[in-house]
Amino acid sequence: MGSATIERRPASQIKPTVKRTKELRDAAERVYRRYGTDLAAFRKDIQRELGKREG
Amino acid sequence: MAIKPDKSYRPDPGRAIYVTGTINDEMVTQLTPRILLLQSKSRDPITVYIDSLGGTPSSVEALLRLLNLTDQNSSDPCWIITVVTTRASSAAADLLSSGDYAIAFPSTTILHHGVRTIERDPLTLETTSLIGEFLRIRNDVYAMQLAQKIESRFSFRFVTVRQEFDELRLKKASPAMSELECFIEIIEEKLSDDAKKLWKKASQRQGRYRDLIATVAQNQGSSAVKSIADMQAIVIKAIVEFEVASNSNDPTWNFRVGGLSRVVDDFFLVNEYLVNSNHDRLKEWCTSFGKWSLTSDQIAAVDAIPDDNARLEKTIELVRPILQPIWTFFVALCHALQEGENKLTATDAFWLGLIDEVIGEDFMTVRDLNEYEDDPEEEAKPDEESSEAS
Repeated sequence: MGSATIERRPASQIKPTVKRTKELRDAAERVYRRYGTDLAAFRKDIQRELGKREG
Repeated sequence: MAIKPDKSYRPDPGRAIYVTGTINDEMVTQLTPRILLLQSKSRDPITVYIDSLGGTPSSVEALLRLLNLTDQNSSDPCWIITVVTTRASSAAADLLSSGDYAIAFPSTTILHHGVRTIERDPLTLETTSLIGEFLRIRNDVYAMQLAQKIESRFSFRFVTVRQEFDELRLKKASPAMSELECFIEIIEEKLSDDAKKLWKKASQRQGRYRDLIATVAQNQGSSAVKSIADMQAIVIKAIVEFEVASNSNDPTWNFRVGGLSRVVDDFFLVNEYLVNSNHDRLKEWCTSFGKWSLTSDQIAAVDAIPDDNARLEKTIELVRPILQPIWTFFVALCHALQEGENKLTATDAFWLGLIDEVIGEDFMTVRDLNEYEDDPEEEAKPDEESSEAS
């Protein structure tokens, strides 16, 4: 029986945004480590990558 | 680098519902079996395609409650991707912004406006006063509900355009331009004429907050505030002084004709500011994307703090003064969206933070952050490893 591992929470307390905020923070951190605050350079690389796919 | 598609940001017609036409209880009843089926099959994202001129707000709320259901294992609700295909007006525009990720097809129309009411019975002075108060409160509630839905989009928009601020200051030969002034000017250039009017309305509202708050702060002095009513009395006195001073050049201005209703409007504006200026959500802004508002030196100083909580507190301390004026402008914008008719293009909706992405437009999105992956071979380079470890 795996029921002991299930976290019981009332529906009103479920806040997916908290989880998403953490994911976003981690993603932003990952990008920052490589690009610093230069988001334009980051976006440029994304475009280049998309261009490669289309080609 | 590589882009790895993430299903949280990719609409899937295979796991979708279609909201077309008027949103009412009947539509919710019709969509219920499909939603329950999708939720029982998996907890993967559900796409909500929208082409609607609106409907009943309570039906939209019912639909959202249904879409955000948990299950018997207390699972998180399914992630919701909303996509407007042609138009989303009124309650449908609220539904669009309620998505965890909101997308617009190009050439779509999005319309936001305030709460309306249609009365069957003849109106009296007493009933119109009550209706006016009711509509004002409902607009305030809707404005703050909208703010909660779109805050992360708006703050992301701020940090992504912030890099253009220095260039603008140089171009204008105005190095003293504030962050907010730069932000307002840069976004304004990207908006349609209709959206520019809305942006200006928000800007004027923000300016009025600032002027009123300055007067209230002067009047507050050192007197002890005993109750909410005491505080409100200080605010009202300050507003009366402010209005008299502002209109001193107009001999026809008076409280009986127009002046008193202006005082009432100002009172609600100040209240709106005081309630929201230190809002918990501002802290959330500071911790999600806020770090990018700092200079590289500041970020390096923050990163050097070993303790997680201390590092977070330092980030908030540095970021808060930058984001606070943006936050109050954002609250003013959410209220301005509830005034009059605000017809927006998909591009407008993106820059106003109402949606996350416009299909086919080359705007930086949160999807870019999440789908981005470093190349494995680059991660293996010893110099990068050592810099990451630091």
